[in-house]
Amino acid sequence: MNLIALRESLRPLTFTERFGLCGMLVLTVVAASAHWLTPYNPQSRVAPGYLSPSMVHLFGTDEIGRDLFSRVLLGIQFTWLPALALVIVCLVLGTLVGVLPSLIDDRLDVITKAFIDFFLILPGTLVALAVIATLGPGLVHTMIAIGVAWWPWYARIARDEVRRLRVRPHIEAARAAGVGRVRMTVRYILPGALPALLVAATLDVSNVIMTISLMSFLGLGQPAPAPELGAMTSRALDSLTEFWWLPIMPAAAIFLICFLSNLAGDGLRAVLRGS
Amino acid sequence: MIDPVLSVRKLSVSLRREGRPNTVLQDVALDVFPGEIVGVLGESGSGKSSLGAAILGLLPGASEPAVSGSIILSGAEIVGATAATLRDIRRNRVRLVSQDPISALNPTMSIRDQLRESANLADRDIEDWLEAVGVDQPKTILRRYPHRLSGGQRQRVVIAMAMMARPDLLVADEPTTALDYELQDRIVELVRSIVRRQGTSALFITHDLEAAARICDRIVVLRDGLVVESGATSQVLCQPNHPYTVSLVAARRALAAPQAVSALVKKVAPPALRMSGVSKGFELRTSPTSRGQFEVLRDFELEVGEGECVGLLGVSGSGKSTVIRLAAGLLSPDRGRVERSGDLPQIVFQDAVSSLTPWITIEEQVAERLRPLRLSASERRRRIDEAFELTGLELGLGSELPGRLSVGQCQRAALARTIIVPPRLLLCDEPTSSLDASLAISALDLIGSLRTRFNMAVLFVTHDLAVAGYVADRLSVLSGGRVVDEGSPTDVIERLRPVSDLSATPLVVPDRLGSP
Repeated sequence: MNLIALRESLRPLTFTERFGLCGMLVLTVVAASAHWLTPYNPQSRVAPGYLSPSMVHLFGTDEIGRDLFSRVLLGIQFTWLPALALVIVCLVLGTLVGVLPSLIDDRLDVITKAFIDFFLILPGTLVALAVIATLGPGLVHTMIAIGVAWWPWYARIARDEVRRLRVRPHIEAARAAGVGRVRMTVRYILPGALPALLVAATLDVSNVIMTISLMSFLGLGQPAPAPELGAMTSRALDSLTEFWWLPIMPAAAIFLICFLSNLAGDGLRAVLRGS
Repeated sequence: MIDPVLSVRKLSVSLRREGRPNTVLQDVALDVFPGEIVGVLGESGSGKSSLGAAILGLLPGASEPAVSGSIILSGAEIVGATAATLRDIRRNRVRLVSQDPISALNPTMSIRDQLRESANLADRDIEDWLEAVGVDQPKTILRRYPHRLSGGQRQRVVIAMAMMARPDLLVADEPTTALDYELQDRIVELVRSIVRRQGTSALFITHDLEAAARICDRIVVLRDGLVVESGATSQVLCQPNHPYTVSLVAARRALAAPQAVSALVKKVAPPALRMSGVSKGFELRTSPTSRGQFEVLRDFELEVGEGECVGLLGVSGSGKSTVIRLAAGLLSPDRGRVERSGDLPQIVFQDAVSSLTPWITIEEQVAERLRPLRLSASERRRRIDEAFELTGLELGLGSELPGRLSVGQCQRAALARTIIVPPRLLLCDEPTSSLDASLAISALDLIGSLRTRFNMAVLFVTHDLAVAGYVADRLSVLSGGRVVDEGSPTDVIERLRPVSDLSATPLVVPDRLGSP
């Protein structure tokens, strides 16, 4: 697709769709550069505890006097980047498994399907607990634990899309023209399957964020001082009535991330439909 | 003077497509008087379906339609009407029979419930209506859900559903395109008789000149959103004024004219295709627990000689497309042998537009078959240009995606892909059935000229007697999974056509092919 076609396909986006796509981009930049953006050291005491939000400390300070704004910024990094990485890895892995039969041999489909279904029926939370029990808590381990139950969804979508496309006349025409397996899969089938996969992935980012937060809540995430949004929310939940900013600010950040990624999912769908 | 049921004045409609406003109808004016059937004739993209949708107030909201002008239906203005008014009009004044009956019926409701929904009639009356549209055993049908009905039954139910509301106007938008060819005639006939009997007016939207000629009192020809011709049916057919109409009528007439039988090819060389004793079945889920075999072809025999053009005639569902796929090696037979001389044959598909991959440029798709040859860049360029030239495709279109091309251009691109490396055998799967008559005849002539140039053998599968007679050296008739008749085109067509007057006969395969 050339640039002009891309520009034209972008034009019909509504305001909210643009907003979502741009927001997601800004979020990623903020998350990536959080270390430089924090006004205070997020890990050490910089002021008295329980200061309410002010111009000096935008989100106030927490129970031991750390700047909450800095911690939330860093929390966005600790939540957003792993979620993004997890979804991308699962997307690539799932797609690879899903198109395997089309790439190698159609008879593989039975095995692939059984393989995907096996992972799909695993009880996700239990597996995650088992993985963490074996490997010990930590960011990477949390991601592995979630990923085990996550990739089969993409494999399933990829497989279904391939099967849907394979019976379309234009794929049959390409087959009659003698297009080889690899080229057929990469050039003719994948671009058709990609929109469904990408849209599913974008809409999934918020689910992953929620799951990561849940894991932290259960104490299976990163160890205590790490500014993880879910963990921060759950730890401060009992001070909601007195010091509302402690649980609300990180929770609002989670909400913002999920909201933007859902809008971005809609935007992406609109872009891909246009092209 | 009597007031028209429908009066359209200065109607312009523009829809947003991919962000750009796109004029689909411009200054359209037409009247439908009580009891009259008016045909709207046009090729795909001419705006004929948008006209129907505008009359029903059903233009797709997602395309942000901009409508100006006026549509007055039994005294009520449709343009700018409120949702409530439109709903009332759609329930009581105008009804639609759409292209595809399966999507017009609710899969989760029984036929009885859906018919009740349409008009508050007693069960007895509903049965009468079903009988009136020619449904056998209305009691059984009423209990069923849409998926248990055949295509013909579904469309009959939809027609009954529309007519039992006793609308002032029936809009029939290509009511036969999704049906078996055998059924199309009967449905057209049904629409005509039931509209006449009820004294309703109808707007019959179609791309098929013949269907329009058969049932319409007047015809309006649409092209690119403009009315290019309108008048009484006989006048439009006998003295067309606009060049487009002239070409449509001429093309159909050329097809209908008897062809001189081309010299029969001597069969000395091994045939380009020989299928002997071929059987092919498909697995079919007959109920949630059991599966059955549905045998499409049974001991099928066919031979296509070197450089010969064989026409294979059959109604929809007779297994024609299966023959093509077996011959191309896309399917393998359950029993029997398929022998080909030379490399894999190429296929020209029924729907040229959907046979091109939307995200790959025309040039890349056309050049696909050059890849294994590993040509130099300049040689490759030369071959591509040559293929474009031979099929009459503008060179500039090579870098476009298929979505930017017209139907005719897609047809040429699909042909260019097949002949860029000339195959010994070209398989044509109803390549003209989705084209209007003038496009169809130019496609047929193009296939003909390419065939002589490269001395290709052609297997041409079609349901259309006129098309078969126009292209084929020899005809085979497929029915019940085997060849039931074979011979020169004139003989076979003679045997198939009912003896009554030839010119008025519908040019489709008549009923008695239905059962072996």
